[in-house]
Amino acid sequence: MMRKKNLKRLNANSRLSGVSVEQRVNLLQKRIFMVLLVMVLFLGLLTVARARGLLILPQPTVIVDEGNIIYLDSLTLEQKIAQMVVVHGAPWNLKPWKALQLGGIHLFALEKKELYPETIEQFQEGMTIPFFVSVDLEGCLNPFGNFKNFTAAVDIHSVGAAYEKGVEEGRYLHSLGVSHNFAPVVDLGDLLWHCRSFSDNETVVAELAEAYILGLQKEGVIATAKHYPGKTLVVRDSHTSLVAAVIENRDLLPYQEVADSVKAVMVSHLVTSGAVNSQGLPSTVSGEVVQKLELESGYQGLIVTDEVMMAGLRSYYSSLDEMYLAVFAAGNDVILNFNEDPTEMERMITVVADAVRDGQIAEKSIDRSVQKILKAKGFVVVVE
Amino acid sequence: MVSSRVWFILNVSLFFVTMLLLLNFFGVSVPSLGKGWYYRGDPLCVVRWNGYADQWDDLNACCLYARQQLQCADAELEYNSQPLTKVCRTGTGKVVEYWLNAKAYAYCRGQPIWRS
Repeated sequence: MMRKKNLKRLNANSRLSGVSVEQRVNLLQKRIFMVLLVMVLFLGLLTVARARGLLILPQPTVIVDEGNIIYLDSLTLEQKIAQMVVVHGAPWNLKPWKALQLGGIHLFALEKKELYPETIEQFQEGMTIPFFVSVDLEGCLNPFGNFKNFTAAVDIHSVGAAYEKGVEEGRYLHSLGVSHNFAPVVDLGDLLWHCRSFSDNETVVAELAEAYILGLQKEGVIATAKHYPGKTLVVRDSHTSLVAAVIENRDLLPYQEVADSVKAVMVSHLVTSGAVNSQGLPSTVSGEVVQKLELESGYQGLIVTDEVMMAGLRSYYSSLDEMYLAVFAAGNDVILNFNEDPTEMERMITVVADAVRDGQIAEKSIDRSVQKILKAKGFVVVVE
Repeated sequence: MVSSRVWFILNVSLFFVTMLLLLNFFGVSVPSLGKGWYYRGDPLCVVRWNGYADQWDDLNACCLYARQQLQCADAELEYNSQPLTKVCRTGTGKVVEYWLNAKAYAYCRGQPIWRS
């Protein structure tokens, strides 16, 4: 009854004002449409901006004193954690990676030689702490294969040739602006590519790797012995998840031999037993493995993880957050994360920073890693 | 003149789009409704270098290495009677090639390291 009365009243009012009910409803629908359209456009723009990392706020500027001196405490916790991360140096992520002040960019294959210095310059421009710039020029993997050839590791048979290879590659990389090469492979043998390892003999690998490292680092490029603790190129199990391997003492010999000279070592995701026991964990997140590398080999350089977004490692954890915490807590210095999503990268830094504040990860461990990284970048680090 | 019914349909549609965008913005993921395309068989990755060709069972690592190449092009190769339809490589000659079947390539393209 009431509703009918209201409608009658509305119709009467409408007649008086010359506008029908239908016209009024139409007008209301139009207005709702306009509001919704504006919301869709606004949210659409916001979503695109977020996906491209344009909403990431830049970190405060780091102050570097004369003599390339950095006071460690002048960096925020987020800046310290960001320094430990190396990402894919994709041009479309230039702005977010710079805003986050990440530690390094890894470059994939590009079409022309000139694109390397151009890309690197764009990334380094305006950065107080420069990015590490890394590539995978190792064994027979060659990101420059479109315009430059290098001898494969398996074709190197003498210490002199290994040294020359190191010098040649180091000079080339340095000329492009690359500061860090993830080479040499010191795994014994290669049953998959048949070209990445120098040999399957530990003494030969140790000698050739040492020579290559000296040559590469002489040219100002950081070498990386990989993949600790070995066996990564000979395990053939199916591993959509994780692979296990038994490590022998001979697998470790190359690491012991190059411990004094090499500036970085990369740790694999293999679950290991035998001479190095990862206690059922992937090596990358095993504190025992990382400690063994430092204690038994006497190694003091950078400890780099293999790429962490590989599902082998990811599938071990129920969430990415858990994996991030484990990777940082294990004592690694440099974390390779080629996730292309800038928002996720920012989130990772926040998650780790919160864990440090909660005491789940020791801040001392983060500080120690950042000191190593900044020193490798040529800074004098002052800890107060 | 647009009828009231058309306005209603437009508004309801826009409302759903707005809701989806809002959920997306706040990081709430909506479960996928299914796959538009299904490839039969197992994913397969084969590494080739200088006459050697070996199956690589670690598909995730294969994706990472393939991703680092200059390009992935359509091509045809048979490995143990299984067709491979994509080759990822940098340059020509004595270079490493990663051959993938359609299922492996589709899997790789869905990984967070492969969004360009």
